[in-house]
Amino acid sequence: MPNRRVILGLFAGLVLGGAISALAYSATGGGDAGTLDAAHSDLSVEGAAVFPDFPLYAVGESFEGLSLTGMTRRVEARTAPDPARANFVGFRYGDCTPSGDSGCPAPLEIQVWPACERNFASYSLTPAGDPLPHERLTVRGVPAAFFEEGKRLEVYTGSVTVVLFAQEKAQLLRAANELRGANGSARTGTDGRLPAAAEGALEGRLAC
Amino acid sequence: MYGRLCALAVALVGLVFSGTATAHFNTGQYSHANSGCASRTDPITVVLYGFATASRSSNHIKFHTGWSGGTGGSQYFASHGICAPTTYQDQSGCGTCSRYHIRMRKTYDDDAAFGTTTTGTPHHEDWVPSCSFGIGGHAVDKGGVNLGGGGPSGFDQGRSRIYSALIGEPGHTFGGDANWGNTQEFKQCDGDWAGSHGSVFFFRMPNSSH
Repeated sequence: MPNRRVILGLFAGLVLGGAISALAYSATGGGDAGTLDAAHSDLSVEGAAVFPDFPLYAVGESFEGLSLTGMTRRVEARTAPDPARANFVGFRYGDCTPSGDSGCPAPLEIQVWPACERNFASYSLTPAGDPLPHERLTVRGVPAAFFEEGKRLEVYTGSVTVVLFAQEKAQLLRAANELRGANGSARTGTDGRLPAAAEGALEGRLAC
Repeated sequence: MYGRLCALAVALVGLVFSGTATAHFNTGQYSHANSGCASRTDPITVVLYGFATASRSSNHIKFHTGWSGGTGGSQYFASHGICAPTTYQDQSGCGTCSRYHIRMRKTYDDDAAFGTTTTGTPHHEDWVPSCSFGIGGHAVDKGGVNLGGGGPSGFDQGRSRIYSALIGEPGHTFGGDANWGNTQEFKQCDGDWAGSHGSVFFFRMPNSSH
């Protein structure tokens, strides 16, 4: 654990100190030798580090042999009658190969949304308000919930909702335990805890 | 918000179907590439309910959109613990055209409030000649970046297209929306990544076909 803290601290220092250029997102070995696919990324590493809109959390340049292979920035205008819109930054780890007309997911994807637009109170299975199946838990001192039969974990911290997708619960929890700030406005406590969810964020009362 | 506004309407629909159904509405949130339903490929963004067998749903979608029967590869849908293949698909263009396309499958069991339900994965996709080693293939449009650059993703376009085709049509009550948060992104054959913004639209299907 102390080694992990040291590594976390070094990474945060690089980000906050503006030394991001020192990070070369090339193949890092392990189970996936992917490199950052700049042609299909909306953000650069440098761009993510100074992203101004909300705090970003990710797991660094690699996780369990999966390299950071891409970053997404989607923010769209609202279009009636749809009350929702995409507004997130995504970090993709590892790669996959689509087959025919069927797309494929990255082995690990982390999306960070403003909590005022996506939070635990956002969901229902039906328009009648039936609850979307989930399992609540606490991760690093903050509320969290599994959805999608354990293939999606949401961590509610500060003013953001961190959404992790992977194949297994255990991997999602390991990734959540490795979350660290990826831009200047993200914070983590020295004891490994994440910032408490903002007042009203879980209940959908946080204003944008 | 739409969901809450429409909850009363859905409850009234439920009265119509009470006593005829045997289980709660249950579905996976994505379609899958293989029969194990462990290989996500498209997000579900529409639920057709009421008398929504897959056959009737396809009939109404064809009628109201002008689309024809589809030619895309099959995918798989999970509900009530059962993984089963696409039963109907419709599309707006040819097999080598950029087009709208939807795959559908009826859920395994009915629901007391929503009756017979079919889930679908409508999307807009481009024909990309360079895909599949030059054979060509379809790639769902990626989503917009920085407020409008590129517009909604192909999955969000598909949901909107179904809405615009069915809204106001007799027998097709808009039941509202539910946010499932099924926003995982999927790599397309052109290397772009596409996903839904998480909303699912509910539309009623009448007890008749065209």
